[in-house]
Amino acid sequence: MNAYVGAEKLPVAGDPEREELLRVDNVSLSFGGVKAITDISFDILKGEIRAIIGPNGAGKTSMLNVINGFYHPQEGTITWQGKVRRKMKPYEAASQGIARTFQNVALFKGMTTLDNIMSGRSLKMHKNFFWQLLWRGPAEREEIEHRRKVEDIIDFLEIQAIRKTPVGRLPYGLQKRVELGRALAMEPDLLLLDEPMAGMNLEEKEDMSRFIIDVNQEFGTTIALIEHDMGVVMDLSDRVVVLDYGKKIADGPPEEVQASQAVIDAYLGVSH
Amino acid sequence: MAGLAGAASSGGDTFPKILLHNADVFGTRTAFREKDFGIWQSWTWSEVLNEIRTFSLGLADLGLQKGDKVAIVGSNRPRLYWSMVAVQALGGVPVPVYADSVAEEMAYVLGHAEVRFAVVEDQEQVDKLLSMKEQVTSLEQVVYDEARGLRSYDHTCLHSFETVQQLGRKNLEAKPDLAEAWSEGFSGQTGADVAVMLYTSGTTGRPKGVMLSFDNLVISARNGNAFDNLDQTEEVLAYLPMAWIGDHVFSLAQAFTAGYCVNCPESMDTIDVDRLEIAPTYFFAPPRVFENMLTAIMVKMEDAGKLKRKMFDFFMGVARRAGEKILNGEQVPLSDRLLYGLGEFFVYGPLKNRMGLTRLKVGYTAGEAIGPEIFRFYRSLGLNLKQLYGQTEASVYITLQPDGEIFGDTVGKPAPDVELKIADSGEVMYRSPGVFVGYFKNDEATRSTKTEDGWVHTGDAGIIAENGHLKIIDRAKDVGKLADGSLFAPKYIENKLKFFPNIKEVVAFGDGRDMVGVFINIDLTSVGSWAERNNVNYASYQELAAHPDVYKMIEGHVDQVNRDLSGEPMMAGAQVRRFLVLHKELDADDGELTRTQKVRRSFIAERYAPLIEALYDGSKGKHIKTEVTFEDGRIGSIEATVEIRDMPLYEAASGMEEAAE
Repeated sequence: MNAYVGAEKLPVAGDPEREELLRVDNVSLSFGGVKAITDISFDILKGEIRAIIGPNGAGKTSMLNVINGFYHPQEGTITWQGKVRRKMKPYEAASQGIARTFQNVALFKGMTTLDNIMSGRSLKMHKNFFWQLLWRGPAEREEIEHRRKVEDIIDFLEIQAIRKTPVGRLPYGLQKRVELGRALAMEPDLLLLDEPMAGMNLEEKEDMSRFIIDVNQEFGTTIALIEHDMGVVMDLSDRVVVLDYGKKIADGPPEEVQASQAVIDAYLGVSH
Repeated sequence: MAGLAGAASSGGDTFPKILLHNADVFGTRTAFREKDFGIWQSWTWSEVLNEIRTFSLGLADLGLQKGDKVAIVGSNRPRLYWSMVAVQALGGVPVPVYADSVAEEMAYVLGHAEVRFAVVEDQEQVDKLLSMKEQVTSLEQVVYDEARGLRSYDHTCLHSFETVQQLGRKNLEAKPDLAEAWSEGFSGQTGADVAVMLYTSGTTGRPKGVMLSFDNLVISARNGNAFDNLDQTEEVLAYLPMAWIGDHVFSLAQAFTAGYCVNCPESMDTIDVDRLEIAPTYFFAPPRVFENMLTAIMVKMEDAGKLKRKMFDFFMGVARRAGEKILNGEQVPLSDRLLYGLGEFFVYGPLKNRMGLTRLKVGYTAGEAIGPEIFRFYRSLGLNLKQLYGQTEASVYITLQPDGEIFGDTVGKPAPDVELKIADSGEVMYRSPGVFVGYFKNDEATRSTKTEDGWVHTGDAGIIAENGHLKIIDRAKDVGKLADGSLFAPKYIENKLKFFPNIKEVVAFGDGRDMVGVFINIDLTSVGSWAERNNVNYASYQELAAHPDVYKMIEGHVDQVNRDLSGEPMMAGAQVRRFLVLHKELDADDGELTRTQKVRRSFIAERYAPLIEALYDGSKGKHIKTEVTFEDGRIGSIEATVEIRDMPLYEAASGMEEAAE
């Protein structure tokens, strides 16, 4: 895919200069009798693109939900930016600097692209109800500032033409891009992408890949993504974690993971 | 050369000199705007001078020298326009290149032009240039405007626009008299120096580099400004390829000489909105743009409420009756004038606003023939839309339609300072101050195009009508003769058919044969919506194209064209005897059209040889299998039995005949 010509990646694994952003230690999560995740440990380094892959039902999305604090694991610890995380309320989870997109698009369909991305800024708006009501003055200035940031993102994602279009009227590929825009509007430290390319055609995939690389390089955002398209995963990510039946079966650079017998078995299916 | 003295007297004879003049005279007027981050960012003439000067000094620091060629690649951005003047100020020659041309073609142009520098828009273009490093060995430095995605690139020969400007600024701070020296540097340039090199997208053979001098551009631009009374208050939208002479003249030469404002859209997809916000006063568009705008309006009107539709239909009727006459300053009954006034309030005004043409002073269309219906629609709304005929080699202007003398089938009278004649072969020739210097490194082509005494072969066949207006028939090399000796101008017939909205493409055959036969492509949007309204079921283009009712409809159109042709003494012999509707859409991916959507006649003749044979052997139908390339590059094939229809011919009207409407 020549969309990535020139995007030479710097080696990440084992790079001592990169500090640890998130660390998952011996985490297990179960819903009643169903064990979604069993004793998983890995880390995400600052500035890398980390892929989480695995067959259907391997526990990938659960893992993301654990990372962003939506689920709290029964066992194990999560260390976020050097601090061990306790159980959080949803709004605390949202304000800790982790943004995400969803497997199926979760936008406000009736709102325009611009408004949807603006909504990503709401946690960063600090003027209180009174000022918002008064509008003129501080609240207006604040909104202008946020709008500028949002316009940056619109420019970055090349969606100027649909700025004022209700997202419900957009094709799927563009909706995904708007969703990415909303996540970026939060200026996250860690961006979680749940199957960013699901249901896309080749061209849309190439576009999205380029955006992901650019986000990573231009903004320095750390990215963890779940993806089924192996070509995309191998091209994009610095390191890959492979899950199967809630267990980690491999972890390392893409080439290494690709060659691992356990991974091949998991994907092709062998009897357990 | 007439007009030369005038060009030198006001503002200077080269663009860098004119820039100094403009910064002086129009200092605080807006010169450029670009929509970025959702807002129109603007630069005044004095700011533009500053930007160009710092960039130019930066380029000098990087080693740009007199005579160096600099490629300019990208979409319409103020910085790219500035780059051209910055290069000219150092005695270099900018070479704008079509940004969407494939790498191979671009490599040829850059290699042929021997560019040393390139100023490009973004990563896409940088990648393209880097990939052709081996073919274009002369290329040394690349400057880009948009930094995105380029962070990890090797920056030894790669610079951002800002860093080059910073370089210039730093030098300027260190040596304050550098600004003076900079202006001094180009004060010695004259109008005869080469200003720019534009490559023509040769439909045959390799592209040729047309060298245009400052005189060519400056005098042509001033003449154009004078012809339509354009001054510093105009607003234009720069959205056509920068490598195309039209854009170069409208968005640079005329803008600099008149001092008006050039607006660069946010992106290619937002042009409609951007035009609405800017409301240009001077607007140029190929017929396709006007067609699309009209189609969009008509589609929206179909969905409008009953009352609105009634109102629209009524007032459009009034406009058809009186609009053009009012625009031309002719006599119109008072009742119509009053109704037209009402219509302006209820329909025409809002419509023009929607299209962003409210403030339009003059609009031009050129490049191809425009459908008379479409042309009349815009004119009846009170928009002063006109046609012009031009060429890169002429610095655009050859003929223009003067205000009030608008005829749908002609392209107007010779532009100021232009002499026009028709050669014995029927080819249109002209001589003007805008005539190019020559083709770069191609004296042979220069000699065969430009005669010793400055006449240029246009390559188009035409006639000068009794009213002094030029009428273009076809490409001179395409014009042929039927076996009985009557004139056969394929394009002329094709265009007549293409003016029907239901017909998208036409290929006419007949040179050296005993009759005219045509291939027709239906327009899927238009015929599709007709099918929807008339309960015609179809699953594919192929099925719709072969539908008997569609054939009947197309037959009606062909019949109409034959009737028209019979009314024109020169063309009456070339009526369409047989036609067929092709089973697939002609497609650039299959090589049947050029990338600019022009029919490649010889290629099609080869590819569909069995069908042509069937056209001429009298058979009623023919089975054919055609290979097609899908968008993802896979190759498949489609098969069909194509029906061929015979058409009745009309008696040629003799003697004086009114021009067919």
